[in-house]
Amino acid sequence: MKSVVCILSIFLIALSCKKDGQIEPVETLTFVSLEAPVNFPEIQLNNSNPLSIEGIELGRKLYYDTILSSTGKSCSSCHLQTSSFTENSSNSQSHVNLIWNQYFLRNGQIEGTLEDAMMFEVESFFHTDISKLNQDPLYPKLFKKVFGKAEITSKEVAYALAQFLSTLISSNSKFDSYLKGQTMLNSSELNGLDIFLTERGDCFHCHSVGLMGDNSFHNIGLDLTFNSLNWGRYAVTMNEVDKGKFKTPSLRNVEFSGPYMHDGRFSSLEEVVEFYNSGVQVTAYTDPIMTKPGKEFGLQLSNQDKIDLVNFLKALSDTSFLNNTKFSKP
Amino acid sequence: MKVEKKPSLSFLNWGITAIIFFSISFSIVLSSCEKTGVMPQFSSLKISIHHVIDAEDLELFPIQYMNESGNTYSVTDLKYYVSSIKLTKQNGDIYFDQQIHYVDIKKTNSLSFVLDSIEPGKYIKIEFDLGIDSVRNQTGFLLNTVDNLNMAWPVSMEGGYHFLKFEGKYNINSVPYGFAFHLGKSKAIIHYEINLNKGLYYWNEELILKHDLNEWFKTPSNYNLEVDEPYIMNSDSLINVIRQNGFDAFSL
Repeated sequence: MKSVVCILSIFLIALSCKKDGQIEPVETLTFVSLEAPVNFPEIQLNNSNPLSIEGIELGRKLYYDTILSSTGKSCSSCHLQTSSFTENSSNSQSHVNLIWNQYFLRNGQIEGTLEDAMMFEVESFFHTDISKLNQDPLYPKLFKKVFGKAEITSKEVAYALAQFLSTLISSNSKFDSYLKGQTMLNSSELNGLDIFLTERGDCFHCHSVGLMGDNSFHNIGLDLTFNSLNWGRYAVTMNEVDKGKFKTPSLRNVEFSGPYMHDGRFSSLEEVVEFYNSGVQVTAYTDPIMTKPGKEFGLQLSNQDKIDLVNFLKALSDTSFLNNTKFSKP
Repeated sequence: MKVEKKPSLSFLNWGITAIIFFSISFSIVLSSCEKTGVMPQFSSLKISIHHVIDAEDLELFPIQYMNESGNTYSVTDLKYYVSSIKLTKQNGDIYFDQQIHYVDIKKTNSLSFVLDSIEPGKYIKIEFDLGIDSVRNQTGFLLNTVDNLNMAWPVSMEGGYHFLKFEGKYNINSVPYGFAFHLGKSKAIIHYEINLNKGLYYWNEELILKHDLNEWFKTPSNYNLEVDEPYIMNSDSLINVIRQNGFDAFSL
């Protein structure tokens, strides 16, 4: 055993020696862990991609770099921090708390880890020309430090992006403070919370407290008929029961992440609440939670209730997340 | 002259002893190796839950089943907790499983679970709860997983967890409506006792538990979705009606 260790040591020393005989200092990584905030699910980190400060920084640099695409766009082009990492005109999905996601994209087309999702983005969305990264004066050195490989491949790009996205955690809203007993909600927000958490609004059955989503898919009664534009989950599973189902979005920072719904049909939270209040379409595919007798066509909330519900939704805004310089362009 | 060498008496004795020894050993091995060859110190039992509507396997689409009141309905979601599983041996010894098992009709790996370290023997009864006992049915008691958080029962309504989410659709004049039988609050727990006649001797024993969803609509009360409230979470009395109906939902 000792001889194996000796041989390995010599091999490593040989690897780290420059031609001129000088020993190259071994690059060290600063590994970090993530802790789940109160009321959040445990974090399942990907052991094959251990988080390091250097890896996260590399991911952040890539996130804001147009080198990933051939169209002059970066991830941040459609995911602006001030809009909770979404963007109005493209109706892109918010990059918030993705570390807890098992399904990615609105129809859950990508199932797995953040690394899997980023592989899709690099290879199938951006069609990243990896040779540009390998020829860049800076990136090869940064990648080598994090992943220990001389040549960059799609995998390392995806893994670095996944490291950065893992850190985009929003858990510091007024509602979070209220749950910890540190802040009071005002009377309007409290009535909104009551609507949210009871069968008056029934929001909580899909938007569970914590993530404010459920990692699942629902047909909320947006449409009466279905085609390839609104098949949703059905396009992935081809299972009839999944027609019109879309992934439940997190409501964190929902105030800043409009427009709303998979096709961006609603531009304001007031419109969204009014849809739930009076616009639900009943089909064989509509989620049972949406079609209560007596509430077939909505929640029948009063005008004040609707205002209160919107005010509660705004209590899910986390300005410390939106302004965190660790998430901004480096 | 050919001389035939007779075995000595001592050699004969050794041979007979060896034959008897190997015969006994072989018969012991044979009798103890019905399945795997070695009698383990402990048995393990895989419990699989088989969801049915009467005798039919459950399908989630379309609206095709009929309950006792004549409502045509479907099941769109089914999630619940099974806990406090107890196995009673013929001699009165009891095996108790502390775990709380989450069952989701859409997650195949949740439809069965394994109980380990069971003392081998013949078992005559299985008991379990649908739901979580009052000591553990406290908000935040369970590990915060996505599933457990989605099963949270609102703190403003006593907190804890949903014991059962049974959701589906039913037709009135071909128009689909929704129903949601959500059981929660500690007093809604349902305790089941089912007689068994099962020997548990090996590490790969299996038991299929049948969960008939049509039972939730009948006995003792015929629950008519067109007449009775199809959403029960806000009503303790309706929760109790469905709870009472659920007592015979599980069988072997």
